Amino acid sequence: MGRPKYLLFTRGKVFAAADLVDSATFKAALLAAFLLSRTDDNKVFCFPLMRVADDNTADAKTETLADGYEEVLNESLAAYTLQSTCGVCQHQGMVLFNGWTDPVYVVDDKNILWYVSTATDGAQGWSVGNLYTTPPRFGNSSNIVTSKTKIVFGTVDEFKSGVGAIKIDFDPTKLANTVDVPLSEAAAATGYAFKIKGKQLCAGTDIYASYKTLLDQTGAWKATTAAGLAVVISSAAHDDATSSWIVTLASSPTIAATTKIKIELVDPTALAALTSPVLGIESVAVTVAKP
Amino acid sequence: MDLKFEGVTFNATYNASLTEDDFVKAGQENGTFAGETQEAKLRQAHQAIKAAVAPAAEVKAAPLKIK
Repeated sequence: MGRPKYLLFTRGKVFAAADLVDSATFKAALLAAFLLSRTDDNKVFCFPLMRVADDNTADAKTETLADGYEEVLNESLAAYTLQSTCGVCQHQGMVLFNGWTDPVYVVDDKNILWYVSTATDGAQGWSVGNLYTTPPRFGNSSNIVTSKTKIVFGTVDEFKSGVGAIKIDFDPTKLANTVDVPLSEAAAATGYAFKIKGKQLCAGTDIYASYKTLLDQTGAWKATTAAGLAVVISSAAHDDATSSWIVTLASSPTIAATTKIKIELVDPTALAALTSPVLGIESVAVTVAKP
Repeated sequence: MDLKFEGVTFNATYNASLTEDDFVKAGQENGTFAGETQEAKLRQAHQAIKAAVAPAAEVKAAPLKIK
């Protein structure tokens, strides 16, 4: 096993044996998992390239009796500190994973993806004991500023047997992925019509020009009341004047004034399945108040 | 099912369930097709929506001519 280069986190994605037959097949399965909604158990999140890996695994804890008899009392968990030179926004994204205890797949510097074999020859991630990334900070005149991610694996037993590996011939960070798009109100609402706009989270680029006509589909939008009730989308239209989409909700049943309504795009899988597929974005909902 | 009319994409299934007057009233409140021709456009839109969701059985076939 080489040094960890890419960490792929998931809540519960298990790859079937059929996904592991070759690099291309695995790539397709991984891409499909990347494109799921962030709330999907099978979503896979990819951390950026880790340029440095320090092995912090402690020696096993031993006890020695007076006559020199020695026993290993506790094995040590594998632990690493990984450094990346990603940008601030992506760094902040990694910090959001602090405390993560769900599985991780590891790609090493030889581009071999390591996993824990399942009973059916599939692949599941390694247990994570703890994950922590230091928050972004300013640099200095002596050192390259890097993010530092500490990962402690959950158990040594997974390393003792049933380890699986597949050589991959692609860079997981370069696979198409979804971009987070926080939504906001572009102008005051009228009746049941809300003017919603969206900007890419890190780049801050307005998505209007690229998705102007694609998001005119009523099936692209989703509205929910605070009580969790879905509100039917009556119509959708783009509005050049405000670079937004006018999302009009059904007026039957009536929604009382000041009612809070969460408006968002449907999840990436549903966006991709629309008559005119919408690809590459996942919204962060905006909560609006009925005027 | 969506129906695009004059730049606005309507949820045809939902809007067909409204009466034309209710649809026009909602459109006026929401500012759909603002301007002097608003009501006329809303009525045209509703007629297009009704036609789009009409079940096939309602589409009358030309009467057969029996000689």
